[in-house]
Amino acid sequence: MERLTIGFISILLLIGTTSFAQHNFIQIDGIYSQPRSLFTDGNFSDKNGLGIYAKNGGGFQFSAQSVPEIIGISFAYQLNMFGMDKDKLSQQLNASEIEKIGLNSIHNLFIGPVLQIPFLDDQFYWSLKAHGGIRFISLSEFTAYYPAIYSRFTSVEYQIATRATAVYEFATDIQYIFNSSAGIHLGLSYIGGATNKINYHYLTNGSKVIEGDDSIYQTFDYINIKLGLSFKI
Amino acid sequence: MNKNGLLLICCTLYFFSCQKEEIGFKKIYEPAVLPKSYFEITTIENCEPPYRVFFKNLPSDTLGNETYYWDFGNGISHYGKVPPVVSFAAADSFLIQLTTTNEVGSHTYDTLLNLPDQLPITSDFKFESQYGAFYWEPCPVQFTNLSQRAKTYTWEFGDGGRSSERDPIHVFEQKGEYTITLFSECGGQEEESFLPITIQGPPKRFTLSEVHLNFIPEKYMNDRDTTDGTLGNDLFFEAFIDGENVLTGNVIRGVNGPKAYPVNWSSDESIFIDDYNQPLLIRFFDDDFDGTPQFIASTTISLLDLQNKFYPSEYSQFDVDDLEVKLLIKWKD
Repeated sequence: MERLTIGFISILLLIGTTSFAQHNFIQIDGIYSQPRSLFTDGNFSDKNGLGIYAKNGGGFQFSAQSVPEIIGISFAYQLNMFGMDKDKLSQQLNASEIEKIGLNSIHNLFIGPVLQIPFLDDQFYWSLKAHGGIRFISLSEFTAYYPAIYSRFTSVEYQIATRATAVYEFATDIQYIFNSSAGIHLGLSYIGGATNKINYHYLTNGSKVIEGDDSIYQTFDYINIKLGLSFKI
Repeated sequence: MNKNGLLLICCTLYFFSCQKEEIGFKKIYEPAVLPKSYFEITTIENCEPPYRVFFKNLPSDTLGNETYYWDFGNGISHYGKVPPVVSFAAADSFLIQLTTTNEVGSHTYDTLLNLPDQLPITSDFKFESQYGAFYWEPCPVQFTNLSQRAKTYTWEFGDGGRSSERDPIHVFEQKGEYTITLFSECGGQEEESFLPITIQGPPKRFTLSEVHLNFIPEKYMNDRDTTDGTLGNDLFFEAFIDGENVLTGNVIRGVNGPKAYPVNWSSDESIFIDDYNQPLLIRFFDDDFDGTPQFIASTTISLLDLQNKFYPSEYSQFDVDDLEVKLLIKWKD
């Protein structure tokens, strides 16, 4: 505890001796994403036992931030893609096999304030961001197959509509600028939002053909670990 | 923090706290059921043995990969969804069975087919004019035989014409009212059916919905008109019947190749016909650049010839010196 206190005081001293100036950055990151909800019991992972049974995923982010002093503004576009645990979804639907067409992808557009603190001769920058924005949730269409001896439906096609919804992100990251204009960037963020209603259409095949519409309700909260390049402009 | 900021935070927290219970995809499931076999006997040909019997397969609750086994009770069996036409050589009762099998199981449907020594015949028919709703003289009429189980047919068309074909075409040359009789026969049985038909006079008018003129411009037009390639109402035609100008059309010409070009025109203006013996004369003119119409060519079309060709909707005529006229004609009552 004592060490932590000394460390924290050292950081404050470092910040205190730094002169603030305009710092603008563009960042390009690869992302590792893990479905996880901090505020609800459910999430969209394969551990949830409902919904799309998403596996851990990945993606990328383009972001830009302009900080006149220590507080500025940040923009970001982020794409996250998640696989699907077809075996577990098959078990839930009592299907023998699931065939998936397309990707589970979430496109996020963010804007929000950023707190950015340089230290160690403007070589390191620590940032804290609170983003709000809109996201487009596109889930893959899939077909569940059933053995004919058990079910009148040999297959059921699920066609899922894209959903646009509000989203927020809390992010923190650290940048190391090893020459005057470029460096590396490491970040961590949590993305969340309300429980989303995703509409889908189903169509059966077999000795009886039925079709209809229904919805799933699911949170799409996840944690991102970002690693990429940072350019000072 | 001011009041507005506090309100914004409260609203945001409220929005994100409205969590509905998570629901997954609906399980769409019903237990499998056996396929259902069913068929119908659609037609029995002939009034006495050998009978030719037509079947229609009407299964339900199928999954798409069924096998079908037919047993016709006369020693003939068949595998396949579409049944064959089966000949039954003798009068008897036959148990017809169809077994449908798929992954779930099998189902058999059977019915008893009683074929006596003789079945009654019926006589019936319908007809349709080549002109659709109109029956203009001369009128080709297509007859469709709807008789059942007969072997031979005799048609009497009421105008002296006869036929022994099953589905004949007969041309009624003169207008009038006629009664058509169909005699259907088989094994000593004879049935007859009648229908009246009214043949009208010829159509009283027509429209030229399109006029196409193809010719070599150098033979008919001056140099300026053959080379400028401009578009405009610089050609027109006049149509005459019995010396009377029945139609005038301004046309737009377009250059189409070095030797010939089509002249197209369309209208729904009616041309009345009093006498089919009078020909239709079409004269084509060039407005010329000076504004003075210049005669290009003319063609004469025999209305009697069109009548003898059963009022065609398309007509093409070649004249000397590479002049071709194509007409799209709509005949009207």
